[in-house]
Amino acid sequence: MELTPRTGPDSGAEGEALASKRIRSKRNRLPALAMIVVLLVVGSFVVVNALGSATTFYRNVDEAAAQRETLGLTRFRLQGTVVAGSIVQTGEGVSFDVAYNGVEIPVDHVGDPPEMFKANEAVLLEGNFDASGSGTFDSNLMIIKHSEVYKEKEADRLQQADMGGKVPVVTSVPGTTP
Amino acid sequence: MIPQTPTEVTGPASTGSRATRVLGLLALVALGVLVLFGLILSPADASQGESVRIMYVHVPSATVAYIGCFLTTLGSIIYLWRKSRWWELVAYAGAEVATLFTVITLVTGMLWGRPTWGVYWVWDARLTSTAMLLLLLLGYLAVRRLPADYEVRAKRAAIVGLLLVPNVMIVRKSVDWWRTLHQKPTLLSNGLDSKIEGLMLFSLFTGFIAISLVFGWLIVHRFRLAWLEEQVESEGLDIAIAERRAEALIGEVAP
Repeated sequence: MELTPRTGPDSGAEGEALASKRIRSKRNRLPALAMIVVLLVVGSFVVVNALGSATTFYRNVDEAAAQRETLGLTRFRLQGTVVAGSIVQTGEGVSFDVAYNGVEIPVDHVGDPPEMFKANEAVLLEGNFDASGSGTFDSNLMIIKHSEVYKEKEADRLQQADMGGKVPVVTSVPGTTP
Repeated sequence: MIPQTPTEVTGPASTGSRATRVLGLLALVALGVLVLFGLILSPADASQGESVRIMYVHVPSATVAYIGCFLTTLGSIIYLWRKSRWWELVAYAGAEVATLFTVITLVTGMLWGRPTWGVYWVWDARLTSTAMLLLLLLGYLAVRRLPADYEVRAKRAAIVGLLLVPNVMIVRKSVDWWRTLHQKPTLLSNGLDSKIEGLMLFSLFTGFIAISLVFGWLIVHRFRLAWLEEQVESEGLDIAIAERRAEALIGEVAP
């Protein structure tokens, strides 16, 4: 515990100094407050801008198809649902179609797809349209976009058993049916 | 001027009490029930498999982290308005426990993200705003520890504390406002029944109960500890002032 001075002959002067310091600190409060307000405004501007760029975190298949000309060879994230029956293993990865809002784009993915990759799942693909102009999307990074729907595995099996073992095609993501 | 000390307001005498021992016991029992339902009784998810079980800790942890942030902002407002030390310490306890649960949220989320999404982390709006929340909480704790008088430190920290609830609101709404990899809320949305099935919903419910009890226990204990620390410090100050007064009076003639 720091408490100096223990005995002060000049404690009166010290008291005056303290009092004037208090007045000064009150006068200094305004610029400090102004500074905080400015920092807050600038800070929130930066934050909103940074998060705002997340609006283009991905482009849906239909949007990407419409913007193909302007996008050119620009790298972006493409979001769509893997079309059932379109998955083909290639030498260096996998090729398939993605669909959204009734539009489909063929994809050439280089690299091993994640474990959760399967038909009718939504995926994010990072890459660009093929330079050849064929409209194929060349991707080398795939992220599975999981929906907010949770289904019990056992219940799923029971449902399948009810249908005589036929696996029903679940289209829980909008835009999977063209 | 006599400095205001916490002794003027009645507060806890120790970190434990009968009520908190019961609370602690309930929390342990609830954690046991959560383990039972989360790991054994509830089924695997049809598409995620076993990793869905992480949700039973992840979602409640995020929720109590938000509650902790709310306590901090509320405590900060009341401190700035009324200069209440009690509320300042509530704000402090809230921030520390919220930091813990934000870290748990981020770690469990990353562990779930790797097998499900295929990546630990992406800079989407939900994940970015949560990372910002953690930084803000750490900032609050750091500012409160910068060496200065108690009033100065408390005031600075309270100003940072005001930002926590707005940040929480951004985190909450990020999945609605922007396109994110993170899924939209399953709970508190329309058509709950079709989005999560019976036993999984119940397991998540036990998760909310267990994590809330742990959160409550931690908040109460962290608050009491901070209160007692405060008291020890101000008691030491009172004694030191009394000693110096006594010394000063020796050489003086009483008026």
